[in-house]
Amino acid sequence: MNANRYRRGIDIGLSFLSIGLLLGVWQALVYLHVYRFAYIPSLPEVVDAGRDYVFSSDFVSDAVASTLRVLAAWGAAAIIAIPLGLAIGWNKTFSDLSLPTLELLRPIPPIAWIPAGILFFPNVEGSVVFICFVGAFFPILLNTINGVKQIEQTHFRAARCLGAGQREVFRDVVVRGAMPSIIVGLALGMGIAWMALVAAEMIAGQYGLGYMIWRAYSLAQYPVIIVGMVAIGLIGAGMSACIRLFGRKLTPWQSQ
Amino acid sequence: MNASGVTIRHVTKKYVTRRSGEVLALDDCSIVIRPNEFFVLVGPSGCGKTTLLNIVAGFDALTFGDVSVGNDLIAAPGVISDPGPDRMVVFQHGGLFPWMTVLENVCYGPVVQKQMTRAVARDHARGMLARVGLREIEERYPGEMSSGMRRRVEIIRALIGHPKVLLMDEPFRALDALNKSVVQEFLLRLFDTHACTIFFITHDLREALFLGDRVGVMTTRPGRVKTIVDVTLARPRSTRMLDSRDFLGLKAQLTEEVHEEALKAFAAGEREAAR
Repeated sequence: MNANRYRRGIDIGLSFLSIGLLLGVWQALVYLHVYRFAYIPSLPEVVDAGRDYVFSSDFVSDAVASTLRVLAAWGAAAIIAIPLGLAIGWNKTFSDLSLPTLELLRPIPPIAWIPAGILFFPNVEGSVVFICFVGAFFPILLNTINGVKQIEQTHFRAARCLGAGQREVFRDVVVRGAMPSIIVGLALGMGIAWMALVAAEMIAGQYGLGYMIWRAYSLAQYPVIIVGMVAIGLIGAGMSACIRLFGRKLTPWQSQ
Repeated sequence: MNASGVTIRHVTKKYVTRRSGEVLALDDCSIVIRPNEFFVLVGPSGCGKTTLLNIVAGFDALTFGDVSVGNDLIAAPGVISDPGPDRMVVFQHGGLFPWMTVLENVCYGPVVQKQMTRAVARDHARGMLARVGLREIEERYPGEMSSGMRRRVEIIRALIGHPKVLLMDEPFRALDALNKSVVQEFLLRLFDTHACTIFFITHDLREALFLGDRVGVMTTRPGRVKTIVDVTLARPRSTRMLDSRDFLGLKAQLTEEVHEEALKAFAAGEREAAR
């Protein structure tokens, strides 16, 4: 018990050390003028800018707008990709019918969809959400398909022996067996949705954290760039933590 | 459901592979398993034992012959009845659902067949687990238990629905010697107290004689039943019998029968490798 607490203390200490090292290396590079690091704002400048900016209504609305866009896109991707992936993984005919198309679309990076998205959607909001959706969709889909394919044949056979019909096999073997992999897909999808969001907002946005970073660059407010980056990092890490927590609740049999 | 006999008549199975063309896996294989009998089938690996069990379970089709369980025709050319709770299988690599607790696993059959409500099934399963000393682990997941424990739970899950026949495909193969003997005794106690017919596959001759009422020896591929040895050891059986003169005599007899087939299988393998 005591040893456990000791170990935990060390873990937390190491986490702080990790972040401390990042900040320390950054400051050292800036103050020592290594290469072009003199152009990069230092920590005090960023903290100054951050203090003013974080409490401004602009920042809050930018952060909320970006978060809502990501959540809408990621949620829509999950609602479509999970059932589709389960069907493709389980049913041979369905898989033969849809996989070739999806394989063709998959290698296209979300950013390449930006012009097409802007053309197709009548407003900016639609195109930005669409691009995030494209980013989140494929990791969720592919991990769901993989999750179903990884289920051992024995489990399908056991369920049928025990008297399960098609519906019960789907509910109790396909969905539950694929769940750990679906959660991995959801976490990956969230990361890529953020990546796509920032790119889309830089090009097409009128507000949002990506747009804010780009505007700060144009207006030469360099510390604000770092504030935006840190904000994205924190919100993204928070969302990943939520997915992991939710995933553990849904898959209690997975050893921690 | 009451324990029933299994009648396997002239079962032949051919299948086509890309590499070696048409393969005759089973050739005119006939076995009559009596109700409440513990029948063990042994033979060299690759002789078609598992294929035969899969045909009885409904996982695989036969080419010729027929199989009935009790009065029900299970398989014939063009007839294949879906797997079901009357012919429950205990799998070689373990068939418990990793995403369900022990209790959920054991309750699954009765609930999914709508034989019992969830609450009744839970009580029933709890009682059964308690009788065999597995009560404390009912909330654990299979991944949190030893493989010997998992096998015991899987046997309970299979027996709770009173199958007409229990099909066991080398279920103890992956266990170490100590776990193996514990689970074997566990199965013997259940067989002594529950009316059930068991069709058991193994290549461990000691296991075959320790568990079975009769032991069928299969020839090397194409599989056919070569001889059937009556195991004249009284029940209930205990590990002490493993050193008795009767047991050793039977083992010597069985070893000779199987050894001959193993040599043939080895020679066939050499020929195939030389090709």
